[in-house]
Amino acid sequence: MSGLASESSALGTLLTLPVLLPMLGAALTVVGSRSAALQRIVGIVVLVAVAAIAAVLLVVADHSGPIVEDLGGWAAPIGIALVADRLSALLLLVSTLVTLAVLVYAIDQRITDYGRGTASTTFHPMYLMLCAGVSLAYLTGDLFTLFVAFELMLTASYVLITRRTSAKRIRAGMTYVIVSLMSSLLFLTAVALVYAATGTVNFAALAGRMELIPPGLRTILGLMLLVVFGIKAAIVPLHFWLPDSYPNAPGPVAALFAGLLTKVSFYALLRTQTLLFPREGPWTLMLVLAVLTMLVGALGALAQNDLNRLLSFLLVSHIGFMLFGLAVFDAASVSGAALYAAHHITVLATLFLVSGLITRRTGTVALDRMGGLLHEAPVLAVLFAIPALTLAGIPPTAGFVAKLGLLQAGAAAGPWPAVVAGVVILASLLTLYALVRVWVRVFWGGVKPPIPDDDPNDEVAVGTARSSVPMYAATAGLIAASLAIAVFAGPLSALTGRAGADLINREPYIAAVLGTSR
Amino acid sequence: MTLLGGVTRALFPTVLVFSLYLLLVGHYGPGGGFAAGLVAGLAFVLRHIATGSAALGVRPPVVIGTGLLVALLAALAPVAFGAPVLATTKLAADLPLLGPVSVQTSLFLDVGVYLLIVGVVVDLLRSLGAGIERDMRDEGER
Repeated sequence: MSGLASESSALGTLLTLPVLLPMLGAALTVVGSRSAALQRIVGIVVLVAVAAIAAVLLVVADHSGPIVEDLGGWAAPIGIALVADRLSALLLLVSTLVTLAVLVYAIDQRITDYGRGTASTTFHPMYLMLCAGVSLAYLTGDLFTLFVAFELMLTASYVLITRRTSAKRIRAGMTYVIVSLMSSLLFLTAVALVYAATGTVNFAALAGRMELIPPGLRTILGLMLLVVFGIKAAIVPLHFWLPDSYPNAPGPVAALFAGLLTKVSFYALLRTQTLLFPREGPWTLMLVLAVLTMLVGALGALAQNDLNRLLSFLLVSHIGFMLFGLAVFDAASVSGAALYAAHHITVLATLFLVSGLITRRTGTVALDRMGGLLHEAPVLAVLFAIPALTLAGIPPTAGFVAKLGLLQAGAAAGPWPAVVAGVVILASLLTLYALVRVWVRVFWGGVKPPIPDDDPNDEVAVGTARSSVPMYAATAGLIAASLAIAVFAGPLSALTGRAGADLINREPYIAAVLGTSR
Repeated sequence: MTLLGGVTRALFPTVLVFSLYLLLVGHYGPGGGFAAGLVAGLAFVLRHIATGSAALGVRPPVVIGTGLLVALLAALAPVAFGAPVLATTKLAADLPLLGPVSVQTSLFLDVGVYLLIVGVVVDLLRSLGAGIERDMRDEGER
């Protein structure tokens, strides 16, 4: 089957580009690491191109079913297949828009702090490698390539979280690296066991073969993958590493991680559990985990005085909302989870970018040492208020739209899911309370003087009013994207509805990958 | 000249040639771009230990980037011939002196991997070996 004899389709080639283009960009930015301008142009051009391709993939996948490309012409399940269905194309598009906005923000932060000519050998290549890993994780059709995608993503993130920071931050970064390596080791073991039990790592082939192995073994494999993605997605009680590591990263890096990494892991969880381990009716264990995650995250957020730690706990809390969608395990709830993931990616990245802007001005992340920003920086107040209301899920924001879908699906699914739906509302109220506390402390009250930068040599410049217009524009752009989710809620929830039906039905995906005509 | 220096002088080109051999036979036998790159990297490690310098003539990041670029272009090249990404084929030619020669086009991808790995090893030597170099300079001054 190999060789130039097998024909390729233009669409199939397009499917490989969201992975290959960022890698190509990474190569170019390493070779041209002396030219800051080249690096910036390459990064932005690549991400704009990937976003455009993702939009095309989404339209085509929605119109005519999943797009499949067999790499090297080796047909699945022997070769590696890339697959774009509605869910993966949608999340790829949203993620790429977020990485684009964060890149613009990061570039302008560097220009503001270090001048136009400063080039860096590590930042741009690693950023683009991380984007390539994210694209590959969304598009891959087999478990081992998913592992490779996670490694690509995580290895780049190790560099981004520890580069040019203080000793304290590197210590926090070590926690992140060690926990991630542990979960990767477990992931690799799980892949090996899955292969030993079934003889394949292709998702579509696994969907059929998983039904043939003993139920006990199937449960163990399912739980192993749950733990692996549970660590990476910060599901309570496996979340402990997240509030310790994310807040210590520089603003744009924290925004990138908060927006993407946990959601890619949730996507992997959603894909593997629905495709490989389908079940009838609600999943009790996942319902319990969802409740724990929502409550521990929201209550943890109330106890924080550090703005970034508070946002990290809220991030954990809202992972629980998506888990609830997965736990109910029907087409409506899974589609609600997909929509919530799209909303969560944009809003968390926005909040961390705003937190970066606030920190730059006040010089601290401690809530009790800032105040009165409403008079000093009214624009910042607006930029904080909109995503905060969106995260809390106040109508008519995107958060409300996304949460409504989850609540309706939960209430219709039986008594226990309906109780958990009540916890969703409680966690939303706690989120609102936590964010109102931030508002009161940061934006109201007397004006406090900015605290001078304690370590001027590290990546994070603080205590300065200098923030360039593009940094604000990038943040505002993400807010606009989040508002667009609310404005186009009708077509979007129809789209995720179809995506959710595909996930539960499984047939379109399996048929597209394995095919009958091949 | 120390004994190690002399041995290194003889071994360095030999190991590099061996790494090229591994690169070329990789498609059918043990070897390939990754293994060959590591072997070539070991040659640089040896030279670093013997002479205190692993200078490559170009900056290691450029080698890494070029390797990645070559590998990616090799992955994308089949598209120009109407084949899927990463597809391979056999190229056969009758060369003067060598006679009939055939290579798999996956060799180009391996060449990229080879360059990338050599670049990474030399970059590691440069950053981790900086302390050794400083110690050796201090020894010399004493």
